[in-house]
Amino acid sequence: MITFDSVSKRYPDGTVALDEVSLECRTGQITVFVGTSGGGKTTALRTINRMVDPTGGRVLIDGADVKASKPAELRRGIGYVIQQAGLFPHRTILDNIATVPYLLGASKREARPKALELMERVGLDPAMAGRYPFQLSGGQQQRVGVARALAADPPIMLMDEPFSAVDPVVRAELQAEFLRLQDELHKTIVFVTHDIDEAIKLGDKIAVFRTGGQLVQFDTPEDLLAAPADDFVADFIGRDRGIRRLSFVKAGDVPLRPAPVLPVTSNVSAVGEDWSLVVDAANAPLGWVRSAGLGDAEGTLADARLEPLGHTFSIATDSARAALDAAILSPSGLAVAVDPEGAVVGVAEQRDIAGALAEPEDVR
Amino acid sequence: MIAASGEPLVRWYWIGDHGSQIWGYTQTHMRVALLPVLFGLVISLPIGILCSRFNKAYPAVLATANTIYAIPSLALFMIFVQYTGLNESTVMIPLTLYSLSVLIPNVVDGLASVSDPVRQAATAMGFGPLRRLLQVELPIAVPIVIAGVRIAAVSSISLVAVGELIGQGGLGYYIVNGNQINFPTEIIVATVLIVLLALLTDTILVILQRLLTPWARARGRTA
Repeated sequence: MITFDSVSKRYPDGTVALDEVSLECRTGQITVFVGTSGGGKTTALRTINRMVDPTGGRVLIDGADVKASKPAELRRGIGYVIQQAGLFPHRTILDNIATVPYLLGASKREARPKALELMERVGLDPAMAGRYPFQLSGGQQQRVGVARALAADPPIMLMDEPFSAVDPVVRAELQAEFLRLQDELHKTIVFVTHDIDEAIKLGDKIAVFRTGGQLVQFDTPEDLLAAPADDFVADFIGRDRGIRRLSFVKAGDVPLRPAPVLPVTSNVSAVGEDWSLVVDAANAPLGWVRSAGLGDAEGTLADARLEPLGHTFSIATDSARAALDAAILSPSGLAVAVDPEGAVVGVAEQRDIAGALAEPEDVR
Repeated sequence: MIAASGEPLVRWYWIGDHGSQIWGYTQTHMRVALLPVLFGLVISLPIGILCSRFNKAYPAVLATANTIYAIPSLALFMIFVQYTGLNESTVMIPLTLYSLSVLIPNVVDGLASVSDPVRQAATAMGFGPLRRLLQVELPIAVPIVIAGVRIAAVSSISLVAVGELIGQGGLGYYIVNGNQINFPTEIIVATVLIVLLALLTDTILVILQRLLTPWARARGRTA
């Protein structure tokens, strides 16, 4: 556990980078520091490995003041990943990854096999081991950066906007793999970002910093979205915080209505003025239909032109956010819920889905 | 003066007759030219490192090195001959001083080519200042430092010939002597050899740089 005990950083020119910040980063969890630029989030991160020494208060790792350790030794026990990766251009990928083991006195023979293993772990082709950083893409360099931070198996990892410099597609990939990796490794991670979406996606707890180095709110993503501490936090989270909150509601909690289903074998004459959901023999949805769209078609629904579904949502795996999206895209305004086998279990209107938000808030 | 005598430009037999003498002067020439570059590098590394740490001192250091470079070599040879006499060091000391005006800025630029994220990452992973300098910053500076060494070496090889005015010019001996006895072969052989030595040295340095810094190839000639 990393403890900030009223940590302050004032520079000689009077600038306050951190103002009496107190918080705890739990062991094995991802704590995200988020905020506007100049909010002190990076400064706060750097007090942990003594890249910055506070002018007031203490930073403790498992109860021990970091000031008691020599900076270089302290840092070798803490993984560090930065935005531009900061790989050593003159060392191969393998030796870049093995940097900290080398510093700790490991021989090449000891460190390299482990570095190779780490390459696979972070999704890099081991054939790249002998290449130099300039031969890699930005996303690949960032993976090397993560592998390098993990090389000495430190219990703590500090990550300073590690995914900010890559394009959105690669960023999403790196974020997903980062979460998968954390599921296996359970490191104590402090992650700095200016991107609230990233914070919500990755954080177990989120600390919001404001210009002047003040900690405004320290909460779980759900609570942060449900109850922003003040206007600054509400503004920072943005206008779509309602929709974001739906990400934390399981689709299974959305109240469903019976679906107006029609088997695909029915005659078109069975279609009424209201929307019907056409299903196959296994009760899987095929599309929407209503009399207004059929004209003077004859025969069964198998030959009729159906309105596309948009997409369905799974009550087992999706969030209420996916359900809302399905409702918005559906021609009937009804989101189609399916079970793991793909069979229709019911439908939901937009307001049913929004209603699912009220429940967690009532519980609080 | 050359054409007037009716003497041919090159008498090839002379080269064959004087093979071992030419080789001797060539060796002297290279020693007198390249040792100063080596000394210059040894002096420039600490000065350059200090300049990149204390930026305020750098303009003054650079101005001093450039001022020395502006002093005619002949004048410097004349000054040092009073203290060091008629020997090789009288030529090597000025050449060493000249090399500083190229090497110091290249050491400083080389160290400046280390990007902030690299420096930060090194510190954050637990490199102390000295280890960071030796294992990260200096190796990254190597391509730019070698670029400076190439310029210093070529100009030094060319400048040594002037040292013949105090009798310490390596192959420059043939240029002065050929003029005095009106024998163009000596002048041409010495000049061609000096140019070839300069080109050869430069090529060896380029190969050395490629071998030492395979990682720098995609970053352009010097950086």
